[in-house]
Amino acid sequence: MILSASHSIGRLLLLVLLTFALAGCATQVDRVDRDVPGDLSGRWNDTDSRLVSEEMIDDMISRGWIQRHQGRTGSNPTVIVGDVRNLSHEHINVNTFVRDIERELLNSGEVTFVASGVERDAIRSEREDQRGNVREETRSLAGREIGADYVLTGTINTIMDTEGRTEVAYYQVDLALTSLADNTRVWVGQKEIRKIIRRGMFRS
Amino acid sequence: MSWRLLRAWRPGLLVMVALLTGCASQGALLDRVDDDVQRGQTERALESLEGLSGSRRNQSLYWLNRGMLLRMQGDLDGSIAAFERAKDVIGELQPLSVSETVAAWAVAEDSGAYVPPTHEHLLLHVYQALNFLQRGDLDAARVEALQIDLGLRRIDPVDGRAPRGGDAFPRYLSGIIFEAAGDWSDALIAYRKALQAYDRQETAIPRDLQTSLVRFTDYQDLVDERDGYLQRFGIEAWEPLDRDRREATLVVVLHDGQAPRLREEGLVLPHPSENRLLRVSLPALERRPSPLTGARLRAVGREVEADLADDVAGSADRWLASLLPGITARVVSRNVARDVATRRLEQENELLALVLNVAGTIVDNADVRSWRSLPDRLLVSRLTVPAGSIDWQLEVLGRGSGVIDVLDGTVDLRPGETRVLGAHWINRFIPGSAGSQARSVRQTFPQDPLEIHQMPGVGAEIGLADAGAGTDLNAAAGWRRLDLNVEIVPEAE
Repeated sequence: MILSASHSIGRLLLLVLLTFALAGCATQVDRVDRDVPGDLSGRWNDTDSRLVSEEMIDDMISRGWIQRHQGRTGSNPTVIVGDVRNLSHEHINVNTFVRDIERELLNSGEVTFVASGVERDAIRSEREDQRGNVREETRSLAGREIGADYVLTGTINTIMDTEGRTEVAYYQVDLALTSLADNTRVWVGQKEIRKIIRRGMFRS
Repeated sequence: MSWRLLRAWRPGLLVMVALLTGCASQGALLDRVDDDVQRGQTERALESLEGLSGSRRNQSLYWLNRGMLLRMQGDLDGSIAAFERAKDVIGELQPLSVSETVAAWAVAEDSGAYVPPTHEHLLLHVYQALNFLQRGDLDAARVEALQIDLGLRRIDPVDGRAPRGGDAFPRYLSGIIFEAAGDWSDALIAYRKALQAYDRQETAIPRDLQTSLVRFTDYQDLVDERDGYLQRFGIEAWEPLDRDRREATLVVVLHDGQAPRLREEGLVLPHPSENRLLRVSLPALERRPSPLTGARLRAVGREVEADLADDVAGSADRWLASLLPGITARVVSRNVARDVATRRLEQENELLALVLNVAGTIVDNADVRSWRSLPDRLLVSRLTVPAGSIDWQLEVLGRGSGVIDVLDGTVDLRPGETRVLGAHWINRFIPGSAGSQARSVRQTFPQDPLEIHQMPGVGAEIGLADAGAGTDLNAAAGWRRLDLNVEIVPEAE
């Protein structure tokens, strides 16, 4: 009788252990706020992209070039985001960074923002497609695009320093706003991020 | 009683253990992948490789091979994604695992996760860079060049050298990338480091690297250094660097053959004085020589011979030679540990001791894992061509410099552009490996018909005398290219 009870307890314990073991294998997803930093590997991530774009665009629109342009033309400057080159040692998704910049520019309300490169081609193709396919009064006409006054270009660079299992990653993002009319630079911004990555000596 | 049983059955037991120790499933799986690749059946190789996908210990190996096979198929995006996964997995394996280290000393050499040696790690970046270059993404290729430098500086913070070589071509390719990106100071630094690495490896310096060193030092007005290169390499004329040049550059990388594979060499022995088994198993490299002796790039009436840029087999040789003392020490330690454990257990339970001894002997395999879908060597050729639509031709040369295979292609080049193309050749061009720029592939026979017998996969299986004129060689060899027959008939007669 006692033997049988101890067997049952043993089986139960085994079952509990098995349940815990299997639960550990299940995929777990936690939804977190975008402001919660999510540094896993020490590489450039979404938080870096967002913080850099916010700070740089804040700096850009707080400078005097907008007022000077408004005073000269009576309208908001029109900006296009050009080439942002990744010259770092990591594969950085420049597209997400460019999107972050575009969002910040648009939300500032200080500048008019026009679609860039590939998107423009797609829009023109759609406009072409409307010819003969949509009602005349709803059709968007060609030749009414707004030309950009300034182009925003930039680079992402890194300097890496390694000593044993510790690495210092220094990211430098440079953006420049250039007048399309005369190639003059109206704004140059720089933002640095420094990360210290300590790699563990042992793994499980 | 059990040991009496062992004594009685010892010959049979030895045979059984010897057979079981040969059943290394991952080795067999990699052999299957190898065979599929050799037949040019990359789709089947990918299917075979799936057997490795669930193995936690072999994740890096799975992604490395998957990346290479997808690349051979021309699926550059898929290959890039797989190589990035490989990088993540390898990064996670950098810290030491205590349990795996203990297991390697006590149980078996292959009990831990596969961590690629330095030369394979460097080639991972090389192939990722080549993927990006072939896709036309120069900035991403530049990232790989920086990662090569960073990786080497992690190993050797002062000079950035790989201790056992394998860093020459990665540095040379980095130079080509920096040059194409217009970063000419970085290009010169990379070319210099490549030269130092080739010298350390005591291998021939590719002629294109020689010329590049002269051109870049000349551009930087480093007259003494330039003159030193001119004298050393015997160069009399070179094309000066020009930021506004109208011509373009075509670089073709030929990936020849299959990297050597590791084979287990060992034996199971009865203990000289006790009733126990000992096992000595060490890895040995098995080279898979290619019939290719060279290659030639032709375009717009110009031609250049390809030079050996990376001897992958040589790197593997040096790597294994450096590992063998440690492996041998671990082999001895495992046998001692097994022997001590068996002897202790013997006093309590003879049968259990027997089981432990036999099981320990069976699992004590040599680690024969390596990135086998790598080529045996890489050959590089660079040609200056006019900008525009260019027809190019890559000839594969066999013995006596006879052309045994030809790849044709067309490429559109902008003024000043450097375009890097590539193709995998394993007894024939792997379909798809040259991407969409390659137009057609044709195999021809060399001048001397006797050489046909030495072409693996074709002549060796068929035999010219038996085939006779008009025999369907393609069907016999399992080939699909019908021009084989057309070529062979007049030669046979």
